[in-house]
Amino acid sequence: MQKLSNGVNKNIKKPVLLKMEQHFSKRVYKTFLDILVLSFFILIIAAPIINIISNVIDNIGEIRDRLFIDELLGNSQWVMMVKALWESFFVAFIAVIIDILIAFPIAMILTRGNFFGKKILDFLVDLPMAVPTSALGFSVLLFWRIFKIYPGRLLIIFVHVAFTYPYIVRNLKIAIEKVNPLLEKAASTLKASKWTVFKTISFPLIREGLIAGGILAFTRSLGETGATIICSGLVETAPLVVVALRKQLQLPSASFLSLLLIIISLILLIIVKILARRKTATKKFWQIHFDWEKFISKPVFTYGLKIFSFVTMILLILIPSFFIFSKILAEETMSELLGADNKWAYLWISLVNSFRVGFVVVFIDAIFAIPFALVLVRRNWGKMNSILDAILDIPLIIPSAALGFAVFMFWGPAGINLAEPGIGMISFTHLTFTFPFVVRPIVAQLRNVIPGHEEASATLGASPITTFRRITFPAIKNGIIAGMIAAFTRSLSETGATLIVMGGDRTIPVLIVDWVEQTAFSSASFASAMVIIVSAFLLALTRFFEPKQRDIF
Amino acid sequence: MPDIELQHIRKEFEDGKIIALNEINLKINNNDFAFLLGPSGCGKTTMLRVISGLTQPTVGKVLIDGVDVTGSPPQERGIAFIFQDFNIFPLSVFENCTYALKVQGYSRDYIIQEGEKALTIVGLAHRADEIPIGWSNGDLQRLGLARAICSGAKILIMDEPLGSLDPKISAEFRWELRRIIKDQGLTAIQVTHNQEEAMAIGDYIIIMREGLILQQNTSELLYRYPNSLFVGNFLGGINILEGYIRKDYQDNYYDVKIRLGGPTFKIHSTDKKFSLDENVIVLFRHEEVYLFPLDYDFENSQADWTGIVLMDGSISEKYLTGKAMRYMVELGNEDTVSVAKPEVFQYQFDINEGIKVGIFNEDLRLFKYPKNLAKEMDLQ
Repeated sequence: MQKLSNGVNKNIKKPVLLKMEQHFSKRVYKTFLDILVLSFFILIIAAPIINIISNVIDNIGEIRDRLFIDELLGNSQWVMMVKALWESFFVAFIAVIIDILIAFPIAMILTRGNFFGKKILDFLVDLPMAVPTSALGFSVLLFWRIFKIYPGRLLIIFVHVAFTYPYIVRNLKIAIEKVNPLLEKAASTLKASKWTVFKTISFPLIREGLIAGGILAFTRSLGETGATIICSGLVETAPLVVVALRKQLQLPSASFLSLLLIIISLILLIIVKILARRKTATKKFWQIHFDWEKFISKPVFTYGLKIFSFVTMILLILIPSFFIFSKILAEETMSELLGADNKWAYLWISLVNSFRVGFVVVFIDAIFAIPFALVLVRRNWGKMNSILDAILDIPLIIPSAALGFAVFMFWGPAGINLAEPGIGMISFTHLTFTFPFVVRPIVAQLRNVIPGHEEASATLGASPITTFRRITFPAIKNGIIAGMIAAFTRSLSETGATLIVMGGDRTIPVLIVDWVEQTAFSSASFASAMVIIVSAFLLALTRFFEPKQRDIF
Repeated sequence: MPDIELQHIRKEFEDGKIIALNEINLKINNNDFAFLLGPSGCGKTTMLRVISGLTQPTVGKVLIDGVDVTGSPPQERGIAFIFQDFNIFPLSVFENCTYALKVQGYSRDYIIQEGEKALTIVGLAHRADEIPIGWSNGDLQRLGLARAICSGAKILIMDEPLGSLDPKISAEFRWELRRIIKDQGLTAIQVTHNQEEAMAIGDYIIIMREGLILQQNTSELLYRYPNSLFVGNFLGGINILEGYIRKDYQDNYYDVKIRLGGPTFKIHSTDKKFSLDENVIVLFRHEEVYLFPLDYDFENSQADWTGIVLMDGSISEKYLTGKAMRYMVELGNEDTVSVAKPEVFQYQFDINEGIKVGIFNEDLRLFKYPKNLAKEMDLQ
């Protein structure tokens, strides 16, 4: 023990924690962790998708027989699939168009405007994204019943507009925030009308955000199951067909349709990424300024547009989405819940199941997401990084029913037989599609970590792991929490994939679907209202932890 | 024993497409305050990073105290780094200052004692509990300095530590920096853009360009005897005249005739050999030019003007720079020289006024005519 002249002990002993951190900073552990994380990633995300491809190839003969030349049905199954795919595309396309039309002015108001209740409006606009779609779908169903609109294509479109709307507004908001208002002012001083300014200055800058939001909304709509089941009536969309085929145990056909959906989603993603790169500003249309642009820039029109979209949004999205709250106090609710079939107990069992799956999944996600985000951002593996980055997005865009089916085929009895349908397999499935939700915010935060801070820490004698604990982790902590809450919310609200892998177990969104199908509307209302409140609370939490602009550090 | 030594260091980026450092050999002695100077992108920051271990060299060895530390990470080198953008952690002042001791597991008492000591040295002891948000750049760098001192490292590596500071504050802070470094007995290397700063407080200056060390020496010797036009130009305002060798005296003295009917100088050059009629460049500094009114009486002057070469000229421009009056003087042969004179000068000249211009032969430096004069004079 060293003693200084004034009697102060210099160095008692190096704490165990620091010693361990120094030890585990060795390169060999880093390599080990890399391998572990990559194996997790491949098993959880890539393997099920690759598996379904090989499955289709293996069973190509059976699939052909069943789909095209079945003894009894001929090619009727194929015809049905094509019809369902067409239905899905049609709904998604119309929903996104309506979304965009009413999202632009609202996104403008939410970023540029300054009024009382702005934060609440912002929250309400985002809420349908966090709420389980089956609850949302049920609420929309109840609302439009008043106007004699019953399950069918129109109702599907209405509900899809409601839950995809936040994706577009959110992306537009981010894009608009990046536009420097001074650019617009500069254009105004050059005598450009409001509309011309928007067309020539703002829109080209916002375009990418619009496309990103549009594609997210489109793929979400394409893959949605929970709300669609409730609102579909006789119409069948592609994910519903996957669920139905799985129920009938027609696994090869289900594999085939799942693969089709996966491929279509991937192609869409690629097309949009290519489109986003092109520059429209060079096209002629954008350079010609018509006389009528001045005319429609009159305040009467600009304010009119804002008011119109505001009212449409409230009527089409907000009121239908939360209409359910007017139903929960119905007299028969309690008697139905506490009736002979013990719905009350099922409600709680499902709720506990949902939370159990959510917690387990989110914690496993977080454990692997942090090192995986580090791999994505920090490792210099050249093309490998962008490939991993691209694969990470896949679970976000492919229909969850197809993804659920892929997971079922991989982990289940037909694959490596590690899990039986039930709560275990639900967890595996949820792990797959929630992983990107945890990784993304961490990656974003890691990109904001100032590299100089870590270098400073190293020059001051900290081992890499000590630097991570003291410098990096505090900087990305909010990203981790935000990602975990987002993943939990997503897990809580998932229907499509759960329907396929649940076996005898139920989660709360699936329970709502069941009860709606049993026409136990009061109980379904009660359950829906309950999960909407939980989701609202979770969304509020996300808001709280959302990465903020950091100070000068 | 040299404290820091670089042997044959080469650093490539992007698979050899960019060569940041090329065959660098360098010794920095114990307790020296060395400066790395050079235009942007010359490799000076890379050199600091190689010394500190933040970057590994492609080829070559780094020795600290005679020990080969090539390949070992920064935390094992016993150095402290001060950054241009401070890299102050989002922690309290005291936690920032004592970070190094904390992560190396020193006792609480020792940390408190050393932290207070370091903060006192830089004059921040009274702000120990603050979170340094919204601090001025000067104060942030003070904290950066305290953090480096507190780490106990004997080698201080600084990447433009005063670069983000207000010029006036930077000019004051540099003296304090030197005093603290000398008081603490540290060996320091600093990268800077500011030639004046390097010459004022550096013991030793290393001039770099395009990954190479052009010249290294004490500031006086560098300023007086640059080994290239670039180094001469880089360290301060120069004039150049083009001429040719008219006579070789064989004892390292040459007669140089300035082009277009200019005067003839007799210039000494030990390190370079010239042949007759070879094209050359004559270099002299702004403050080495003397201006006299036409009726100046050299005979009865108190100063000794022997050895001065006089030319006719006229003032074409003049402006005040604060420290000095700058004149642009057109010589008879249409060359223009720039002259800096302390403002309160015996004589004030007016534009278009005819004058005599004088330069001492011994102030002139002689260089071979470069292949590309414009590139040689480009400071970027």
